[in-house]
Amino acid sequence: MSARADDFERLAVRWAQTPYASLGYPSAIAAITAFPEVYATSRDSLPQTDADRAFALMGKAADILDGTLLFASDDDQANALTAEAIGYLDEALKLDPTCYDAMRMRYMLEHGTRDVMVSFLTEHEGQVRARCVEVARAANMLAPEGHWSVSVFQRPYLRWLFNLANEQLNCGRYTRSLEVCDRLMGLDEQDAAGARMIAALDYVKLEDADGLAALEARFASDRNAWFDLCDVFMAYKRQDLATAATRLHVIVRDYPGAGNTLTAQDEVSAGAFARLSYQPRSADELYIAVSESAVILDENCGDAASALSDWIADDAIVRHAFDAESAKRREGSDETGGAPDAGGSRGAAASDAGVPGVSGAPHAPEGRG
Amino acid sequence: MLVMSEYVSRMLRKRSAQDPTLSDDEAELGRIAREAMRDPDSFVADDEDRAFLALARATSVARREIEDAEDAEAYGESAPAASDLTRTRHELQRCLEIDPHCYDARLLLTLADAKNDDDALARLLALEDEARAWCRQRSDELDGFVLDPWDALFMRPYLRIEGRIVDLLTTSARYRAALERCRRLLADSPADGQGIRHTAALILARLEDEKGLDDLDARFGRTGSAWMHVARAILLYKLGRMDAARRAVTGLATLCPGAAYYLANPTYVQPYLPDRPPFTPGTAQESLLATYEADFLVMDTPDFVTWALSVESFTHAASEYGRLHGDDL
Repeated sequence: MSARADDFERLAVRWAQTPYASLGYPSAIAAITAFPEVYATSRDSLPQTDADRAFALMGKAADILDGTLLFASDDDQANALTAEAIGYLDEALKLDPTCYDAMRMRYMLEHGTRDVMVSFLTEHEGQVRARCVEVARAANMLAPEGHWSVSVFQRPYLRWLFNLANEQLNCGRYTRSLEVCDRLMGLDEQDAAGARMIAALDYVKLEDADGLAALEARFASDRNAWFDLCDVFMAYKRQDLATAATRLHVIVRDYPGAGNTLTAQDEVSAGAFARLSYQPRSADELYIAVSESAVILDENCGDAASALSDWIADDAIVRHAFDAESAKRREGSDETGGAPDAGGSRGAAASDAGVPGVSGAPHAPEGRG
Repeated sequence: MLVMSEYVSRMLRKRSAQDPTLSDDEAELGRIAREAMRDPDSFVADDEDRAFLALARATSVARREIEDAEDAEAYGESAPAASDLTRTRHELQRCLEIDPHCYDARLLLTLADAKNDDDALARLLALEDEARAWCRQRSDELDGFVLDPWDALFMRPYLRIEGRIVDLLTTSARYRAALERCRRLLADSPADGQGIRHTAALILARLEDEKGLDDLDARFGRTGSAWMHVARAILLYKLGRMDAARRAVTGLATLCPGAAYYLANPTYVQPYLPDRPPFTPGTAQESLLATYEADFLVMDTPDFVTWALSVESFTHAASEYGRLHGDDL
């Protein structure tokens, strides 16, 4: 999910609902065809409500928090960027107090994550849901259960639940987190928010092999780095090291920069708007999945590295990949990917080049102990 | 493990096996026991006994070496020799030279030698079958009929290996596998002399298995323990049942002396040699061991303690205990 894509869609809806003649076009088709260019050149002059303006401001904050901030060079810059994001969010909430994405991002910046965030998100959840339905219905865009992500006006609730499930996972409340993921996947079978990845981590935490298998079967067409990693974790936990190693080596084969990512096991803070975006099967995908797996990789080890974390980093194939990637980097002929393509993947493109910018982020990545 | 008292019990059982009339003569048994505590060496009958006595020496050397390493660390010195447990290892090897079937020495040496937890686990898993077979044979010869495997003194070295396997599975976050073993041990040994149920309670909370925890509690007559109180409080917190969690935290703070304090101030406990030290139920000693063992569960629920400190009775109990024991919270 991206704030920009949502903004585009919101304004497209307003545009389509405005009579084409009043926009100065000879036909509805002509108006619709013209929209992308008008959006690109003069977005602010397009017909929009205060809620749309608020959403756009929130989007600017999201660009900072989930993008620029990750590459901040020092604390001063990071603080300045955070202050700027807070400014946008406050402005957004003034225009539209029900700009729920802005609301939870603002709360997170003020109060931090985990327990306090869980309480906040739980408390307002019913209200967010009701309001999203109301707004979608008013725009004549109410998507039915199972397809919530189709409607841009219902997505804020999906992100709200996603945020809740993620915080619960990080609080050690796995059953609760799973319940929220299940609701999320029920509302949106396509799971645009990516709750299935959180659910996979929950199942590993609960060591529920059947649950994980059923989840992966439900999304059989979707192989992602989270499922790949969770299969490794689950095999390791049941002491099936041969299977765990085989699955680990498939990851090394399939994801660029895997040697470095699996060795460093960096942790970056979760996306404020939604999960940080990435190209499928990219270095970024594995980097983000490993970062979110910190709840498993760092379990029960205090300041040292956990047995599992060591086992992965010490694996011969992982080390070999790491050495090969390092050599390649030294040669300066680094082509293994990991860099975000322009405009596409914002941020988190850290894995391949030894985490160039992310290391300066306010929540400096916590590598292995 | 109280090595000396177990040595004496084993010696008595050996003598009773030789002389069946002795097992009914409590006065004579008492006399021999007292005598043996005074002068253990004169009661040594074979290499097995000799190795067991050497084990007593090895564990006290280990304790001293660990303390020295702690002191060195406290004073900021590096003490590689002490933390390497060189002398301990030497003593343990001596036990094994006397009797290669001294499985407690094998266990301790394995733990001291292992590169890491996974390595220790692999070595113990490779050892367990042999230990079981040997201990079973000795137990059949010497223990006679017992109600609970823990009462079979000659089975205990094997059971202690099992206990450490459970611990290593737990520290390497393989809870399902650890629980599996706990279940098997509890099925084999319903009286649970080793206190496996305490570890099981913490694991069930970690896996958020409410029914499992309740069944375990019921099975032991809901007698409660510091472990059970900690497990229940954290489980209810994890499940988000905050009113019940608040009551559980209050119960924990009032029924387990020092537990609130130790949760709020994680306190160092010496490594087990090789098993949980004996404790008096219902004392702060029990609370200390339970909270120390619960570390994996507490750390995995990072906001639990902060939340518990928002419960008045918990904070009160923690600061009161700290005040009485010369510590400000």
